[in-house]
Amino acid sequence: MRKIVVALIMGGLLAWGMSDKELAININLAGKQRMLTQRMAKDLLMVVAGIKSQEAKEDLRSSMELFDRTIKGLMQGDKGLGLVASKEQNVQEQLKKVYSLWLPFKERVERILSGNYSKEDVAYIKEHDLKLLEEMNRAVGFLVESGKASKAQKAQAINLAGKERMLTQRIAKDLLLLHLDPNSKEAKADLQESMALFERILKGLQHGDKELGLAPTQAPWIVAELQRAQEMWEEFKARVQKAKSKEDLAKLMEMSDALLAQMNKITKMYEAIYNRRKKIASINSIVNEFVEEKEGQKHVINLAGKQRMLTQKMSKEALLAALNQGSQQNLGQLRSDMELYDRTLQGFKKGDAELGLSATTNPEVLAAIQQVEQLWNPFKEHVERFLAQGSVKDLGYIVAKNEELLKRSNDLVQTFKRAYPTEGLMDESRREIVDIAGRQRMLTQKMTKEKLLVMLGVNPEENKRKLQETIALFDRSLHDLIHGNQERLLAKPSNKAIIQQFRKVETLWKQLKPLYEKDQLSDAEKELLMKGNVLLLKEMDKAVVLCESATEY
Amino acid sequence: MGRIWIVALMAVLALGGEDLKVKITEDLPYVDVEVNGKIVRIQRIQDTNHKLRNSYIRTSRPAPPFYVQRFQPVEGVETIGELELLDFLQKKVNLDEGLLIDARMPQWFKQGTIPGAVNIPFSLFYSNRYTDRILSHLGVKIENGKRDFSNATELVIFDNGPWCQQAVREIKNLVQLGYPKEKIHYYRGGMQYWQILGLTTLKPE
Repeated sequence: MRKIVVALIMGGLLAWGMSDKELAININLAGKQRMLTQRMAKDLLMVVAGIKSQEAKEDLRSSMELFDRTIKGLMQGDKGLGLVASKEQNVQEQLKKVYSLWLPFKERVERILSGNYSKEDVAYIKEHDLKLLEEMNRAVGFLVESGKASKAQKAQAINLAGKERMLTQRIAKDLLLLHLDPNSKEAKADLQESMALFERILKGLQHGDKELGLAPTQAPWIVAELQRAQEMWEEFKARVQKAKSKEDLAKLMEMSDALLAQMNKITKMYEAIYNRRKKIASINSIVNEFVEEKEGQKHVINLAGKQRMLTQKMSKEALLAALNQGSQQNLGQLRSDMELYDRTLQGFKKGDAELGLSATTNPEVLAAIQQVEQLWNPFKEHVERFLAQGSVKDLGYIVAKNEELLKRSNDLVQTFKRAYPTEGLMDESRREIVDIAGRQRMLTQKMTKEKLLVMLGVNPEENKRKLQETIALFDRSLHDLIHGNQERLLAKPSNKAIIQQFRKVETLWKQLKPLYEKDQLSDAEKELLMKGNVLLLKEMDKAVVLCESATEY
Repeated sequence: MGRIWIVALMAVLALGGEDLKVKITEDLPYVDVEVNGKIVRIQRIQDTNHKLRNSYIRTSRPAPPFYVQRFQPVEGVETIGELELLDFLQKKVNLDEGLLIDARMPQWFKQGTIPGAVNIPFSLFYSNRYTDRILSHLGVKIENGKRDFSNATELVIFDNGPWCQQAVREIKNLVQLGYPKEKIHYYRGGMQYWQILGLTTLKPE
């Protein structure tokens, strides 16, 4: 017996083809089969000894039927019992071995139940119940071993708690054997071994037993039931010492059944913990996948929003370079913004792990990307030529086409938003906030570009009008972001960090707005505006990140 | 928030159930629940001068979306209080016969939840990709696209509190999918009432 237990622990670990819940059910029911072998032998001896023989007969029949159904279920699956056939070859071979032992065993049990049986039938059961138990035990071992390492240890508590059920019946059977033949050395030795093993496992379940692969049980509700089992066991042991009469033996049979019921309850509790852990792990994994997808969608919308800003930033940088305002720095920035816009656009289509983008398959999004590309490809060529040659013709193209590119970039943002459905008012509101706050970044660049065009005398009246519109839009949106606007689905922020960040933007904006509105700027004011504009973009970007990530808006 | 856990942890370490000054009820000093292989003890904060310092001290939030929820927002779905929830943890969750669900978005959940709760954000049930995968772990059998709810797990669903709509949305979604109403309970008090009573919260690992 000890060898079998150690073999269970030391056995090799094989791949597993069942779900965790199915594994637990199979181990529990296969384990229960071990108990049934001993219970049937015990019932038989009760019939022979004339102890509660009618009850014993009924119990023998139901045990036989259950064993028969379960062994078939373990081999072929049984929906009603929750059993799935194991795909492991060694498990299947072992179950077949058990089944071939079971058929002649069952035949004898049926004969005993019909009342038409011989001494040989009784002897056969007495001789073969342990063999059947041993082979069934080996099948349980294969089931436990075929789980992964982490599963195996957790499954061990279910296995050994289940084994205790068998031992209650084996001990009862041994007591009956000793009653029928007080001089049976085999029965005496088996009784001693079974009682010692029962005690060791019970102790191991409570306090841990490294050799048996058991950790101390922590769950107080199981600890309480184990303590109850311990009390029942102590009482049972004391009665075994004193048992003399047939009545004493009948009482011990009752007590062994009560102990069996208690161990069954405990086994189910271990099984529940095991199943719950696995269930929660599976749920967490699905939720994580869902969250990652949602975060990915938010990230895409954020990047698409940034593309709008880049169209204006590139135009601003080209104008600043043409005005000889920090030319090298602006040209360098223009190149990197052009490359970023291009890479992000390609990333939307084909995926880009570094940018955290996966390839899109949505036809509506692909069509919108194509629309952007039709404008972007020639725009990019002109930016590249401007970077290489600094020609006015290319600058003119950039100035003329940047707003159309902005519009198409914005269409792409809206397409992404439609492609990723919202989850109710809260999510919709937050998304709107992120979109409006994100648009503010673009407006900081657009208004600077328009200011530069006015300063350069390019369509001054038209650009002045545009500039005023952009300022008004930035102003209005910042006000709504700070104070909320129900009609626009913009909630008033209550998050301190977000409020502070918006206030920071507002303070900066109050300093810069008069400069955007002033007709003639001194060199110092121009420098202040250009530096302030970069800072405004940076602070607005921080606000967008906060709006997007804060738990409570 | 951190302070609450430290106070709660110190209380657990220092006192056994019998010695608790502030019990949950006269006969119930605490409730134990298994979380990731560890036993977490739910009890009340023992410092009778303790006050909340986190965002749950707020009385009002922008509405929409933070309107006050009806006591029973979905007919046929029972609304429960803290004691019923604790009972559910002991008698159902610990024995894998029920599931306590925090319906809030993960960023809320990560800041602290009721020990023993699993996070299934309300918005997940708007996505066909995930619905059946989650339902299959709630005892729902799915065969050939058909859902069989006859062995559906008993659920208690909660969120931030009576001003939050996340749990109600989840409940409505589940009912719409066919989940039996009698298998769903709504803990309306949510995280706010739970913490106002000084009950243990847990930051998920």
